[in-house]
Amino acid sequence: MKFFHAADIHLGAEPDKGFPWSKERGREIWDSFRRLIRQVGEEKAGLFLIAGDLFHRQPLMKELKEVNYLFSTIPDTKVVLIAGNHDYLKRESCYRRFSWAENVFCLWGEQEPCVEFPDLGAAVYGISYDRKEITDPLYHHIRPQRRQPLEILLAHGGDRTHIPFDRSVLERSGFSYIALGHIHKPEVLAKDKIAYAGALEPIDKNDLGPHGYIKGVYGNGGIRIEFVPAAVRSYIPLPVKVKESTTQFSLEQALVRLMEEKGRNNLYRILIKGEHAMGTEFDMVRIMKLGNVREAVDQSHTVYDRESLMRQYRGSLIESYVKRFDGRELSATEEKAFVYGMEALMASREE
Amino acid sequence: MIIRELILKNFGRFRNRSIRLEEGINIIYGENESGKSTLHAFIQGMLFGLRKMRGRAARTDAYTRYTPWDNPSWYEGSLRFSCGGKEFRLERDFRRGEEGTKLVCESDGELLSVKDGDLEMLLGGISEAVYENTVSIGQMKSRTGDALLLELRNYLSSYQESGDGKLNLDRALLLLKEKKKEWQSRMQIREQQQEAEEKKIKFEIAYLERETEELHQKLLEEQKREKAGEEELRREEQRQEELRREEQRREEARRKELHQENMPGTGGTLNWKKVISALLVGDVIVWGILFFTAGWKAACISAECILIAEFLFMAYTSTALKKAGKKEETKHAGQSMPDNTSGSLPKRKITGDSIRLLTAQILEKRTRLSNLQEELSELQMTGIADRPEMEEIRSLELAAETIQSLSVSAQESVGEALKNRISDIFCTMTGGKYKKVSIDEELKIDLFTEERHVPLFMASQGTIEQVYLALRIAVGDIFCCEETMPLLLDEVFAMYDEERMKETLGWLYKEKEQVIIFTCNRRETEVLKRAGIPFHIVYLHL
Repeated sequence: MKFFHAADIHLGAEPDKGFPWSKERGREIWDSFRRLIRQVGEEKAGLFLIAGDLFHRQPLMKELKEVNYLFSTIPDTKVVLIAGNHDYLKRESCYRRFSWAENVFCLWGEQEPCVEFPDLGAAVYGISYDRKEITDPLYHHIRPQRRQPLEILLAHGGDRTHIPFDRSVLERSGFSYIALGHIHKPEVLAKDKIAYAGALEPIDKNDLGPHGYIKGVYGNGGIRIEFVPAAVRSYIPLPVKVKESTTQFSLEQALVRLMEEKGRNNLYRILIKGEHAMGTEFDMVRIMKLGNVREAVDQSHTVYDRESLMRQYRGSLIESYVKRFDGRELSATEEKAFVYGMEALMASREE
Repeated sequence: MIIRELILKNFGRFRNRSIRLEEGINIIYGENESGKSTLHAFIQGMLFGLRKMRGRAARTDAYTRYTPWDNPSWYEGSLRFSCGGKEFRLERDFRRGEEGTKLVCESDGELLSVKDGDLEMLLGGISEAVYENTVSIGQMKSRTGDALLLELRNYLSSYQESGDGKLNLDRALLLLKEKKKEWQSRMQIREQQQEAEEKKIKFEIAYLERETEELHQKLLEEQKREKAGEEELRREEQRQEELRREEQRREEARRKELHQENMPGTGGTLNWKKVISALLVGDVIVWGILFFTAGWKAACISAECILIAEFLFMAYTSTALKKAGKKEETKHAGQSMPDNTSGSLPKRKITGDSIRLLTAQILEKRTRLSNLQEELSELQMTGIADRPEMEEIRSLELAAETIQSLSVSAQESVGEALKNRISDIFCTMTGGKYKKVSIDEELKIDLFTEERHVPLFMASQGTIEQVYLALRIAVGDIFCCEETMPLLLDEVFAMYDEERMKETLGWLYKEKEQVIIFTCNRRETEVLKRAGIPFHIVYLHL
């Protein structure tokens, strides 16, 4: 039997508020989800597991209808979902009132702790969020009840305020597979046993790396899972090193070329490093407009040889200034302060 | 340190030119453009190297400016000097920086290492900045009184603040302030953008709230209407009930009448017994009459017939009555039922539907509202936490604070010593004409003679220049205490009258080991000759 494990789809999210692509990203998240469901249908999967945060916030009725329709297009696949910290079961949540298609099973935690599918030989357990934060390690207490040969746990969380857990405790819990959600970066915690599917699409600028879902096969040999990248776009860190000869224009050209190379569609976080000529300051506003630039940080600075500065300016304030910032580990603020002050002093010294 | 010889192998306009210098006063005479500043730069370049700037600054740096006119790939020179009783030769290949520097002690033939700081030691630890500030003195740039005073004050203040007369702390602090302002405005712009975003959400929330309220009102109305409808329906039903009852009563009355008309005695079910008794009485009477008229037998037969007939009649009427009653009833029901279904029931269904729709809409809107409120609070949270500009602003503030605090401590440590030294130099230079130079906290300078006090702004330009010279020499004395350095004076005496020049040169001859005066006029030589002060002269030719 094939099964799909996705999490943190965040339908309804519009990442990068205020940026020109924000609305489009919102639509892309829906499109990605639609494509995933089509894929699930095409591969005739037995189970489609959604480990929380299907929605970015409380789902609207019309959104649920939309999702339910999509689920109803794969009637041969059992869809099992839990609510995460984003779409938690508020008292007035539409989740509670919605009547789902026959193949959809929600583990809202009202009756049984699991749903059983004797035809698949599987039981799926899970706990839904009824509030934004849960600090109890709830997953430590949940045990499979040996109802079916394949016993799966749908879990959401893993950080301090969202149902923290100990990896080793989960590993010993006896579940055949634990489908995790909440952490947006896909990660296998125990081979073919415990894994974060990661967000289907990156939801904010910190969701670096590939994104998609997990596809699993359950057979005689047990479980095999693999990560399938599916996101339309990625956030890509773009560090560039500048030299004294780098000018605004040459920097812009290099960045445009790099972004072109790595895919025009992706979203970039530019980090400028290295040394720049004295008095040169790059215009970040222009760089932000070069394309899909999500962020541009200039960490380049004039590099000073402290030793020779102190020698050259012995007896003057510049020497004491260098001394003040020398001979110890500097904080980021201090490092910057040194450079700013040095630049100002040198500039003031020029006739 | 005494500079013995400058050997310009290939430097600027000079090629294979050697210039010998002596102890005491040296006059280097040359017209404009004859290469005086080149010699200046050569001495500094030999002692400290020619710094190659990077980037844009490279176009105007000393290295580029003095690149040899002919054969620029050869860029060398040497300098012979004596120091601590020994003779040294310093050679530089300017293209190769420190690598191309060689320092030889000619007295014992020892090769010294510039890299290891041997030259620095010979220079008594004087840095290039100090050299620029003290050893090498140019004419004041400003020519007018006020600007001259300002320049003097600037030098004094920046020297006092930073130990570096070229450093302009006010300007540095201003630059930092400007930068800070720039970041602040950047932060402001971003915050405004965020505020706009917040405003948009708030507006959306307000709009949604209004919509929800309207829907809610509608719902209330609809509910009221439904209630009213039910009330009316009930009243209607009551009325109909009453009507039906009325009808029934009327019907009954009519039926009674009808029965009474058709068959007296069989008026209704209620007086059934009466009917029977009446019938029996009737029978007896009819039988009696027949008995008297037709005889016994006939009477008996007819009586039987009558009885049977009566029985049959009774049976018929009773079933007929019952049937009629049933018919009436069904007729009644059939009439009122369609009335009900065709009128109020669908209506109720419609109001029920719209209420359900409204409730769903309201719920949907409420969910969206709470989502928006969540978004808003998240936005506000990030606004507080994520302010990258603050980091820059803090760094700039730290830089400014550090500079300020350093300048204060520099002022404290060298201020007094400097003031005393200036006063000493100026008084001896003027041959005791002035007794004291006082410099107050605001760097206002006052000169005191035996009998009166002259604020510096009222003194002549020559006096101001002389104070300036005293100041530069005083600074040099404070910094170059380990090794006395030659004093390089560049067109310093232009504004001095003859008397002042004589006393100043006299002072220099007495106090300084070596003085190198660059000039483009002959006044200095004439004054020296007249005063009988020995000197060495070098002519630069075009």
